[in-house]
Amino acid sequence: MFRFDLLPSSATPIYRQIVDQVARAVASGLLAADDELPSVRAVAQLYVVNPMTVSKAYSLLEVQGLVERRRGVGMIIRGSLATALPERLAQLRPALEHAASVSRQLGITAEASIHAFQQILVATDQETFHE
Amino acid sequence: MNETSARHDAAAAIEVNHLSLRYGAVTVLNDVSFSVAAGSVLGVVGRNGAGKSSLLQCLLGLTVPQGGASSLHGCSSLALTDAVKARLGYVAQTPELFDWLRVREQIALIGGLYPGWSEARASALCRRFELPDDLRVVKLSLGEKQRLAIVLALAHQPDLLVFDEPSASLDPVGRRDFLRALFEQEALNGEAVTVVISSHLLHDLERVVTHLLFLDQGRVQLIGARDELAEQIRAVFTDTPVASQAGVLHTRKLADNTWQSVIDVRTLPAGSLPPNARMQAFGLADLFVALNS
Repeated sequence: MFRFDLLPSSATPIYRQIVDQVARAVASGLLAADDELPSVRAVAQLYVVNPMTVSKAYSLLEVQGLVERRRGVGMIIRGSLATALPERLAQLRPALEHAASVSRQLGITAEASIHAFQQILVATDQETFHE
Repeated sequence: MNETSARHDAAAAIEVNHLSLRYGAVTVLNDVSFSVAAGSVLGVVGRNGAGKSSLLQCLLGLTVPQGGASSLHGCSSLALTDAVKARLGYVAQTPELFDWLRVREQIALIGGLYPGWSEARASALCRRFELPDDLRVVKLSLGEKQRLAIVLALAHQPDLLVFDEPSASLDPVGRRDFLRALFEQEALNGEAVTVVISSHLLHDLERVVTHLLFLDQGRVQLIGARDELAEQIRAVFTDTPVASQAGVLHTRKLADNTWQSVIDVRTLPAGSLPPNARMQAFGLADLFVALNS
């Protein structure tokens, strides 16, 4: 089942985090057509967030056409094709721009920043693998 | 965009109009007005002495204000009918329990007062909150007393819950259990459950609230839907103070002689900020600190 990575203390509202994470997972192909999202109740109980917040996020995903509500099943991913690489890169760009500005503020060279990013990519990849 | 009007369309579970409360020369509540739509979870936050507990007590008719009025489900707080009282659950800051009773006796006593009392629901809640039901109340720890007060407030399945610092003495596991119990709460009458909860534990609040009310020295400083506040309220950093005007909620000087303002992007007139102003989104804890410094 799809797992969220929710940070209630973040400045980004929880419903927005849910929408963004599903959109990214669909773009990457991690979530494919006919995959099921965990139920509103399950997400609320697991991550201890208000079910209304989860419900709001799912409704928004439905409006955006990424998921559909299927009777007796729940929320199902609609799209079948992973988004092309250029569009996925466009989605990544804001996060990288933020990282670039922080790294400039800290006076870290481009080379050292890129090296750190590569290490993080390898480390998080292993985490996913062993899960 | 139509959020405000939508909220007014939904039946208001709570209406507060120009509430004022003074103790001698001390103003506790100062012209407080707001309404809470049925089904909302309103978090009331503010520093110690901001008036949170007094506000909750006025809502419940336990404190009589000098001015203004409030109502629950359309019924004046000062003349609550038995029908409305049966739909209420309240946990006070200091649980009011009978020390000499055993836990199950205390539960049975309160249960007897409610027509819709569910023995099964009360037992399930006791198990969830790990309450030793044979112990006398006087032997319970503060955290256990608070858990018992929560069980007593939830078990008759009310649709309007008022919690005054409900989880202050609970450990992190107990606090998560409390929040989960809130999400599962279903009202006996099938209505949407409305919750008002005051707390200093902002990390708990931000998981549950749909709306937030910031109280400062008895006044409503800011109120709104949590998601809207997250998207519309911003910190702005400038070299000179931003002129006080619509949309500027608070301005303070920082240690490095620059200025931080809390602004509402919906109401701030265009062009009010200097071109080199830096804008930043707030988490709830940072917003609380910025508004109260």
